[in-house]
Amino acid sequence: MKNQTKKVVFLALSILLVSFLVGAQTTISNLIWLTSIDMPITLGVFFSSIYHDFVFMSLTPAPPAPFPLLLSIITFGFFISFGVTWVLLEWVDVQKKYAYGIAGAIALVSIVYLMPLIFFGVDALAGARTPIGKVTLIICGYLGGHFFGSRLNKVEI
Amino acid sequence: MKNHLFKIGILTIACFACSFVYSDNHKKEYKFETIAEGLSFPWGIAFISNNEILVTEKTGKLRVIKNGNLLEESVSGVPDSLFRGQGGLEGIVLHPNFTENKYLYLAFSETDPLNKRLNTLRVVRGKLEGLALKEVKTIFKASPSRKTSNHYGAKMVFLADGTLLITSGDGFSYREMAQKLDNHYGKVIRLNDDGSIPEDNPFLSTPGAKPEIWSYGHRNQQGLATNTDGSIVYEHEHGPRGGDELNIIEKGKNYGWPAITYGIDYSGALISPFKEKAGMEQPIHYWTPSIAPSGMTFYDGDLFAKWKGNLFISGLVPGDVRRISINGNKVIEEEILFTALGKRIRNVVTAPDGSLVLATDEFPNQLNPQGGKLIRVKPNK
Repeated sequence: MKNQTKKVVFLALSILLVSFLVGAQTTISNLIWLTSIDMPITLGVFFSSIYHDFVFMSLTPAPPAPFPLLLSIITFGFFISFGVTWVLLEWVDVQKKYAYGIAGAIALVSIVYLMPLIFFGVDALAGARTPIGKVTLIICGYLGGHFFGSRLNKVEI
Repeated sequence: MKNHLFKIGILTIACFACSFVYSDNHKKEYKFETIAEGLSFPWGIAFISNNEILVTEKTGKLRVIKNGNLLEESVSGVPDSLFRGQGGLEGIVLHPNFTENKYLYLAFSETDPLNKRLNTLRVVRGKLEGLALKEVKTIFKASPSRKTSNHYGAKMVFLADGTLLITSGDGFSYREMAQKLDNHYGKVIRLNDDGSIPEDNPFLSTPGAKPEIWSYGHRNQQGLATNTDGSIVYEHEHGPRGGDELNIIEKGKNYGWPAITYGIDYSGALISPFKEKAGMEQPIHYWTPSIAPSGMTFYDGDLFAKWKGNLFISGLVPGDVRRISINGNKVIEEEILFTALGKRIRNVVTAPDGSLVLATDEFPNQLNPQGGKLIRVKPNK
């Protein structure tokens, strides 16, 4: 029972981690462009922007949706990809941190490429508009999954 | 006795009924009259006369309303447009000498003939002969083409000097390009009436700049109007989540998008942490939360004398019209009007007789067979 609770906590933490990283990726890509046109990006502006984007992308409802959109989409994506991975691991012998890492990356691939179908053909995540942005977001997904998989290993040992 | 009570009862009910009607009429200073219905996403409106109106339907047709009747036949010779997302047949404006030369201008999205995956904003001039558009000539094509079908702008207005201003939106996914002068995203364009470039455009001698650019740093500008003598150009643009702006457009100026904004991204992310910067213009008014401003007219008619000199801005999200009272460059009052319609309002224009004409953002379907309407607002006399 204690282990089950820990797993749920780690799942929640991995979702929050990815949500934070995706938000930070968006923030940084915006700030890099603003710097390129000589806007005054100080350390204070940097950290307040990171904080703002985490709070408003991951913890605050995004009207007209009555819930935090990014967090909900990542949660949905992770539930599906982690669920499939959990089943596959019954037959496939791969270290969990890599298996869930790949699952996290696949979840982000789906989010990045399917979101334009939902949002009128546009990338709702500004950081996903360029190929390098898409790759970075997929890496964020991998990191979240890797974190979850590596914590699972420790719980089960 | 019973008979008396019955009469008093009837009289009381009649008095209440009369007072309700009277009160309703007394409160309202205007009334609505449906000019036409059955339109498919009416967008742009141009008056040939008070009784002859041209309406663009976003789905691709140019319709004519004559003496209160929507003609079944649409204008032939109108180029094919791309009806997708926010694109379609949109802006229309008549040449200032339309009565003599019969020229009108249409702005619409179209598929790029060289790459079917891309599209762009195109503006044509054509001569209206009866129900046919002839001598159609392309006068502007936004460059480069885009993948998205959002944020075209597509509004037009003639200035007092006979040049034409066209709004060209940022294409949604290309917002940063609004700050560069080597493209048409997020710009106001100025051309002569034949499509040539005026010699006094501000960036003619700037290396790499598109010579058609009049101002830059815009998002999706769907309102463009001048005051009576044409000395002031008002423009409004959609913000993202919040930050819809009303601007006064001046030659060569940078309006800041997306380096400065009062809105945030739909995802909740900051687009920019900055709201102002030296060298970038401030709006004279902005809306947070957004009203999704969709059309604008400067009222210089006589029917509503006390509204003379005011701006009227239609809003899609709240489904109303904002009356903006201005003094010089300052907004001094905003009043919300026409909420009783309960519809998304796509455009508002001033008719030659001084009435206001609204377009509702609808199309005929099973739930709403009447589709989009043109509604005239007149004083309730």
